[in-house]
Amino acid sequence: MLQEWVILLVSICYLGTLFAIAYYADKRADAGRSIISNPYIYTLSIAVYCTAWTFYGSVGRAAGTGVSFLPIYIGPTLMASLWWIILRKIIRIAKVYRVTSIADFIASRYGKSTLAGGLVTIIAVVGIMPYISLQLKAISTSFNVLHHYPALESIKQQKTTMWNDTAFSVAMILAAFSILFGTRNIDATERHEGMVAAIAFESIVKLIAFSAAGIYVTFIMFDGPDDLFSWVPHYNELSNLIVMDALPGGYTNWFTLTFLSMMAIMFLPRQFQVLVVENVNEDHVRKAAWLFPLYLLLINIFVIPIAMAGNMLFPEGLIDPDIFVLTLPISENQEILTIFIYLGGLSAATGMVIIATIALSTMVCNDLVMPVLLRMQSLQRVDLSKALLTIRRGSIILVLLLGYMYFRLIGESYTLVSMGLVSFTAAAQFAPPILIGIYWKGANRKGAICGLLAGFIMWAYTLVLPSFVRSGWLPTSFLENGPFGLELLIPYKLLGLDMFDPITHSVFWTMLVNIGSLVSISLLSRQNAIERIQAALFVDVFSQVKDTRIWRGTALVAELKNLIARFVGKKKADKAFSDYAKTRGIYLSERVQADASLVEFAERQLSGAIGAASARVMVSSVVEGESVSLHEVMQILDETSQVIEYSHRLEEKSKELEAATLELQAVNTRLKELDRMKDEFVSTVSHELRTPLTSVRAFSEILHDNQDLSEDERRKFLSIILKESERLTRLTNQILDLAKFESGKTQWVMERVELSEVVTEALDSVSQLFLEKKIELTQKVPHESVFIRADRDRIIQVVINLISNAVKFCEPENGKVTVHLTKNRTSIRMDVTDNGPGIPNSEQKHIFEKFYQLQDLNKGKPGGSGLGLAICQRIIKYHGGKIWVKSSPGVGATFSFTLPKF
Amino acid sequence: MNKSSSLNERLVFILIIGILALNYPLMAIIDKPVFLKGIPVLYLYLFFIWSCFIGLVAFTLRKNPRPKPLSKKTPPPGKL
Amino acid sequence: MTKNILVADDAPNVVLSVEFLMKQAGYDVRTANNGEEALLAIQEKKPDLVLLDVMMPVRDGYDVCQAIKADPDMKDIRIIMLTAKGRPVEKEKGIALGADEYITKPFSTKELVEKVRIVLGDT
Repeated sequence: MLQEWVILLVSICYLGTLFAIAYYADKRADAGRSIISNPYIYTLSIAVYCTAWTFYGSVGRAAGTGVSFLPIYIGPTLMASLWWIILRKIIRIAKVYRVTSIADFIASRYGKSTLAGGLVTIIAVVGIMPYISLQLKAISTSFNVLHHYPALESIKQQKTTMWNDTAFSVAMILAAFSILFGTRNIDATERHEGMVAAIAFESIVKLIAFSAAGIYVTFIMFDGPDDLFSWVPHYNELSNLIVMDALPGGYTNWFTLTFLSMMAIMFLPRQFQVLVVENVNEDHVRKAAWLFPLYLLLINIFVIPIAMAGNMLFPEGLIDPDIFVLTLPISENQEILTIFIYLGGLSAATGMVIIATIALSTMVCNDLVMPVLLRMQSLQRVDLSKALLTIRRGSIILVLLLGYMYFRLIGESYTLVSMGLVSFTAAAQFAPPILIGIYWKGANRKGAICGLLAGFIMWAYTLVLPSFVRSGWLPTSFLENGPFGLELLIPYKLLGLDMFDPITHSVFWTMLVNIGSLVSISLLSRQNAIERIQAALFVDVFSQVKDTRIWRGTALVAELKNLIARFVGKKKADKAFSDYAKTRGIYLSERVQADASLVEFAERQLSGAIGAASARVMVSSVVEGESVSLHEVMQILDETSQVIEYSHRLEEKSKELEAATLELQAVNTRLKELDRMKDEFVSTVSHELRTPLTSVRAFSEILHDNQDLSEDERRKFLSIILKESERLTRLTNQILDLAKFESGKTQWVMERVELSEVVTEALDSVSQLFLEKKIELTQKVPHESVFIRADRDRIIQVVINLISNAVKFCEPENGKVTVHLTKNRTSIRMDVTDNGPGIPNSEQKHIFEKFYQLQDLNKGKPGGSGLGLAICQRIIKYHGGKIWVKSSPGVGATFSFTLPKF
Repeated sequence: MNKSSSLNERLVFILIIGILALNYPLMAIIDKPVFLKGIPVLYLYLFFIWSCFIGLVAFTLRKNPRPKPLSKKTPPPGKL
Repeated sequence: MTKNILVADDAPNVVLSVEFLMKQAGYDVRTANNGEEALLAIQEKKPDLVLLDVMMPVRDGYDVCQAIKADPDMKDIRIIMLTAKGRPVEKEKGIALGADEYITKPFSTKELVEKVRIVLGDT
């Protein structure tokens, strides 16, 4: 009913407004005062989810099947409850690792696989075609309705060539706008503030427009909801719309659609773009998680009333229910309202197209075209930045053309919603690699690629091919009997599974093969180093310790050098680099970008330290401008670390061995020492025993063989024999004593001993000696009794020994021996002093040793055995006392010992 | 991170309730061609549950005023 | 001519017994109590034979033996070593140092006298 030019003008003005908003927003962003950095704008940008499908298609679906349109919005609501967990993680990963699209995300996660990225891009482009074409269809249809109403036949029957097809023009205009919006320059973060502002605006417009339509229908055309619904029972065909019965596929379908939309809300490329890439602040998710569902609720409140009204007011089949939203107000001649509603629909459609094409063009450029180009141009570092813009613009046009082609070839025979669901199912293929990939490190590249491929092929077979049949491009026997008559391969009933509607059927199979392949192949195959790094980086993004992160951006010489230094040490690295510079006669400035040969050199240096494979990973990661945590890399260097551990253990073992050997050597030396001492002891003992024996035997023989000896001689010789025998006996006893002491087999009889008695007894035994040599004896003994606990005989033995030594070493006639006994609170002390020649310092420390005898040149060999003092020492020690000597040569000597009292 | 993991648990719990409430068999109970205040009960139920779900999520994710850890004098203001 | 024997031992009773035996065997006997004394005595008057105890203070028997054999004037003096140590290695050491004979204590008087005679060629 409206003039074509009017509609066009309005449309252009509207789009111009959008553009202006976008421009303004971009300018503000450049100035650093972003207008989109708040959760409300964020939420509204997510609302791009509501496209022409929501605006027109929901009503169409409700009109036919009641609440069956709702799961598409309930799904996102449910999913949003998990956004705080899942979406935040994805956003964090994307921010930290500079992910710029969904293809980028998947590629990065799976070991920076360009294959995965390319595959995702292709799936995205192919999968979104139906969606774009549905927008085109919606726009062109709404345009036509506005133009041609009430000549409804012409709306339906328009067969046009491409060049005067409204849809085509729409596509081209949209392409132009998308190019203008999204490709004015290349931003490193791939954010488009202007675009986001524009679609936020659009979300407001479409909500208001739809609500306006709803209010109008419910409260103006009818008297409120109760009035509207009161009419329902009057229409038989409507009464089942208010229950689930109307749903084809029933609860299963309901569930499937819920599930599908839960996946779509996050993994449709445009949704990923606004949710993740365009996100400014993680915290906005907090509000968005409930605000967005609220938006969905509000925009859907009036769907059913409008649908009911449409059904009631328009006879069946006359008007496509998809456009009830427009035809209802138009039928009441509400021109302004209708235009406004039309603008709402336009908003809904253009918003989707712009975002989707920009997202797709980014992917096509970065993940499909560029890798191929780079591979071809591997030798030259050609500046490709100019080419980038062209490639993107080309991609936008291409995507829109593809959408248009789909629309022309297939779209006409489908409802909007069913077209949309095909895209949803395609988008759902991205869910397994992403959702599983951010929680399970074991998901690897092979698994992901196989899963994607399998899902994609299954999707194409179960949903896209049949649409070709429905549109007449393939024979219907394909659908009825399967390809080549193979019934098990009927696209809607694979393997005979015929209880599902096509969408549910497809979702089931695609998810099965996708997840199945991903999991099973990941479990069966190994990851390479970079896959493992990336897996860890993604899964652990929240627990990333900001430890030694290496490099962002391109590699400078300094960066490379530091990298090497980390493994081989600073000195070596410096030296290596300066050597490199010297041999090439160049000067290596630190701030200069490293060239290829230097990189290679660095890699070689590194491989000496950590192995060639790991060196390659490290260096290429530095040069490619990714950030890799050193911690991560060391963790995944399995082989290296195992080797390191092994060699550590070896080192430890050999150290232990060394220590043990040293110990053994020490013990051996000690044993040898003891052995030597033992030998010495034995030989000394034997010598000491044999000497007196010699005299005894010799004189015995002399006496025996010589009858004619004089009496004197006889007596003399006999007394020698006696003396030496005595000596022998004494010696033997002493040796045995000593031996017993050493082996601890001595039996001690400890009793209460009175010391002055002991002294008296000892002196009695040696009184003869005193008399013989005429030595003067002095006793200094306390009056009161001095008691100790001791072995009486042994103490007497000690005293006798000391006194007899003293006597022995005194000069006859002039000798003086003093025995002095003192006591204090804890012990007693005895001193035996003589005025003999004394003992030189050098000998004082040896005097208590076994067999030690004083070297006295003048007197020859002393009469003792050298064992007396040794025995005294042991006795005193056993009692817990001390024995020592003090002497001044020429003056005399004092032997002292202490014993503890009771 | 205990606070956040209990938060996560609550969110998952709400999700599970939502899924249960908005699917067979709970839905089947309400699924009757009956009008309440002139509006079909199915519609009422669905939108009601939907609103409740949104409300629960909003409530769970509300931002608590962060207690200032260094301030010892006054307790932090705001709810809770 | 009567042969001259020097007896060196630090045990006086041993010296006494050996002195008696040698005198009885018809030799002139001088005595020494340690290695130092022994060497002095040798230098004073060259004996034909030295009965040398090994375990002596100041300088032991081996020292004396070595000293005797090292001196061109004295190396024809006969040496018999006496020792209380019974190990064969001692005997070998003595022989190696130039002793003519070796007797372990306690010795048999007959054996001692006989060995002296043999060494001096007086059988």
